[in-house]
Amino acid sequence: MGRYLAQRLTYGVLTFLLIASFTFFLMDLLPGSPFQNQEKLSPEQLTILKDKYGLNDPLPQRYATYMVNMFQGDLGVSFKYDSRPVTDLIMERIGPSAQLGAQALILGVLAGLLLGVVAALRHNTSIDYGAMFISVIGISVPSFVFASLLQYYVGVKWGALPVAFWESPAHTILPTISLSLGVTASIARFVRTEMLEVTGQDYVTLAKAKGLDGQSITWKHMVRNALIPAITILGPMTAALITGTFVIEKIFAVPGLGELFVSSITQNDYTVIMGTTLFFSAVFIVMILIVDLLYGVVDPRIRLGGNK
Amino acid sequence: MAEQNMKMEQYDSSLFQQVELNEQAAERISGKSLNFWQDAWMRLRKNKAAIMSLIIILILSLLSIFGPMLAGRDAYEQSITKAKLPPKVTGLEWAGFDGVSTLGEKEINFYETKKVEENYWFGTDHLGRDLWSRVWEGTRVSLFIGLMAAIIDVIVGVTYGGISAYNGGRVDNIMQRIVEVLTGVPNLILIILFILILEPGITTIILAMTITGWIGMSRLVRGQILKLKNQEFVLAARTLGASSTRLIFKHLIPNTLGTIIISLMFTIPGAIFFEAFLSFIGLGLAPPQPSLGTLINEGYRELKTFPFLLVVPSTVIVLLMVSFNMLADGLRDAFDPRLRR
Repeated sequence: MGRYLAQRLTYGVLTFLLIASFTFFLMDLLPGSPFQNQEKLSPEQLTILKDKYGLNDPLPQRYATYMVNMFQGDLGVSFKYDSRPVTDLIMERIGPSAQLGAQALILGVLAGLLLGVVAALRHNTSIDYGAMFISVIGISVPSFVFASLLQYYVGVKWGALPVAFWESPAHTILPTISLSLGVTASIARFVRTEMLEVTGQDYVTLAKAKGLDGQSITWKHMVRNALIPAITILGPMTAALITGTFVIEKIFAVPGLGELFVSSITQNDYTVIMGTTLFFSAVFIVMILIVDLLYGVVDPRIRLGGNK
Repeated sequence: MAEQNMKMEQYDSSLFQQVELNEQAAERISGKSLNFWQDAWMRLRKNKAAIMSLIIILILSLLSIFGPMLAGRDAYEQSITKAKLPPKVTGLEWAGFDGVSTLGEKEINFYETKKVEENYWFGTDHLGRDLWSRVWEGTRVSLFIGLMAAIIDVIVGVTYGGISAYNGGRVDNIMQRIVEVLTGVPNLILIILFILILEPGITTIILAMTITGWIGMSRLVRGQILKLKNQEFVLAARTLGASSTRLIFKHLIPNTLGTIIISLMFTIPGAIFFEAFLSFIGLGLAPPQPSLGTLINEGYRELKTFPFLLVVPSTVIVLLMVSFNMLADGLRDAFDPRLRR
């Protein structure tokens, strides 16, 4: 296990370094300038400004500085938000994003689990087809389309729930539902397939032969085993959730990380783009690492198999 | 009882003929032998959802080519006097295509107030451009992006996965380590960064999407070829003196085609989604070029007053995505019935 862990960690760190270096040099190639009204600034003023942000140093030196600072938790200062440190900006925005992501994940997993289990238990009936139709729709409808329509009909037309902003628990309902749609759909499909796989297993037959009631066979013997492979979709799910927050935070004006990332792109705020990119990448890489390790724990064949 | 015996007497042995056991006849295969494609098509044909999806995709593709011609209006022509007209179709007034829109509390027939004689089937946008023409033009762009991205993914992925698996050993090892590092990269962020440095446009979006898009395909192909290359038919071909090229193109790739096609079909809706996503956060195609994403983005801005501007392109993109996903599901079941659920 130790060797497996070390190998996975190395890949994670390698990937992260690759992304960090890559984004750094990419930022250097970006067209446009972070300073507004550049025409109005005299060359002297521009030099002073660039000096302030260390943009006059040669590229390799800037790269070295950035990398060293990055490992000390210093991601530079924003060009836009009154020279605030990027780390601070990220920290104060984590809250809403984390809450939104966690709520969507919980709602999505519960709803998807229910849908998938019911569909599998009623295999090839209209309930099954209905559940699978819902999940195809959930996978196919882009989250921003769903979110806009939800916002318009529930928020604006019926006035049932707050349209935007992040103030009370009621404000979190619509964004959470919008973000959880994709999770629900993919979990439902996955659980259904795995449940059908498990149905024919000997231990299920044995449980029936022992005279266990249907409920405990379903939940104790089938669902538990069906969920083991579900660990694999945690990685792609994280990616999908991050993607979702970009648009959903924009639509519902949630002061989160996704909104920060999108607005920093439109404002050419290099350091914030880099900082958020690194943060999202780190989250993603850690998630993949957890998935790999969990899978190694659950299924020992994977880590014993070596290069498989 | 007696009656039964009477009946039995009617059938004497002369009425019966002895059947000779013919071993060759017993072994004869009566069904026509089907090749892989006929077999898959037979199964796909039975899948109603997949066939429906195929028909919808065909209709939408045809509309994306001929749709603008049907209305006879240009997708770029602006006329401010005809801006923001709701959809109106003669004969479909009951379905909401009546040219009436609710503004505030009042219902207003915009065709009467703006004195427009002709009908705009999907209405017009804020610059008076015909939404019907723009939607189909946009569908064409989205389909093109999806198809191109998927094809490039296939070419790169099949080559990479094929070389990696066929050569095996150290080559495979190195190539797979590279892939392992790359899978840790969140592809969306990479795509966004690429679009930032390149000029926004159709080519940029396609290129950006294929930078990490091929990885999934290469893994699938590698897995398939690893499985195939040690099978007897490959050994037989090799024994008969087939060259590597022949082995790859005649034996290995055709046997992975099913996997490739399924993956291709799943990539297309993914690419369509990414294009729409990028356009929605303002990184997509530059105006006035319509795509489903830019139309949704424009529609979203007018959502509170003219919801049809969002609803129409959204409906098209949802139809397209659902159809591609269902068709891909159907194809997977058809090519590999073992996966059927």
